[in-house]
Amino acid sequence: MTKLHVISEVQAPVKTVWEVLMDSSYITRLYPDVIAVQADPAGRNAVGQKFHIVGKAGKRKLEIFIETTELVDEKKVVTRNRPGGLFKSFESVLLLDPRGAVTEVKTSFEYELSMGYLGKIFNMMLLERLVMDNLKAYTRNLKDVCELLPLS
Amino acid sequence: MTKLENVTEIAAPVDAVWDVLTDTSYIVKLFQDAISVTIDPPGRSALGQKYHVLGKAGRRKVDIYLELVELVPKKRIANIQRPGGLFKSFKQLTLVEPKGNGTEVETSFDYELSMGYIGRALNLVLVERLVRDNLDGYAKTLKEIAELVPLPAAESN
Repeated sequence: MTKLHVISEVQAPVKTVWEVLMDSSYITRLYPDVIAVQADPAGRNAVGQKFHIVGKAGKRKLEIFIETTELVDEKKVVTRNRPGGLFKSFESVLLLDPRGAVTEVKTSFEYELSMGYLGKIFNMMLLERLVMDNLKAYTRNLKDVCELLPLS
Repeated sequence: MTKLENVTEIAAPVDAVWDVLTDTSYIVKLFQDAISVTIDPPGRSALGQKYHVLGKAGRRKVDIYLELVELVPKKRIANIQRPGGLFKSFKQLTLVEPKGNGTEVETSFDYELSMGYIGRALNLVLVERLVRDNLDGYAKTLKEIAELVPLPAAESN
């Protein structure tokens, strides 16, 4: 099991951060190697909503199946993996702490890659590195997207 | 009015290319500075489908409003802009043709930026450059995605 914890200060109000987290069309921009996301049902993030994520690793497509398992309005988002795909287990927990015009975002990822078959196709060390790079980039990209200013 | 044209050979069958072109969940990835998209109605590409694409230009968000106006399965797909947002006019036409074991994709973009929208908040020269980079990058990214090799489904779990 690999764990990653990141704390980030986003220069945007919690409402802005929450809007990004609730819109699944941002996911491809938040994870560098995610290329497509299908939400079932379509629409804003909700408990029980399932996501089929397509990612890339080298010249291969990878699948990730996750589900939103907990939402506390403008406070917390928990996502876990569903059977199949890249992860044997995966959980992400995002905690939002409003501080006026700024939001502290605490992100934690815990995951285990699905070995066996993946190990026959990929170099597992490279795959581990790729996953870690994507998860590290997530918080940075979330901050970048949330801090964008409207044009007018 | 600016016109960009590109012909790309993709080492993937027409079906794979068409699948990427008509799966709206790829839109954000195909344009490097797109950050999100709202699709009305949701689902695969269909005539009349409307897109509100949010992009970034420097530290600013920009809005792009498009509509799918032409769809000939596995042959051609076209989008034009709807009123408002970054473009005064915009048309994207993508033609798909099988070529050997692969696919030839011809993409053209005709567009004019909306000076009123850009206003004083953005540098026009930089926005022109940014738009051109995004549109130039489209075919390259389409090629990269369409050429990805899937994991054999029966064994992927």
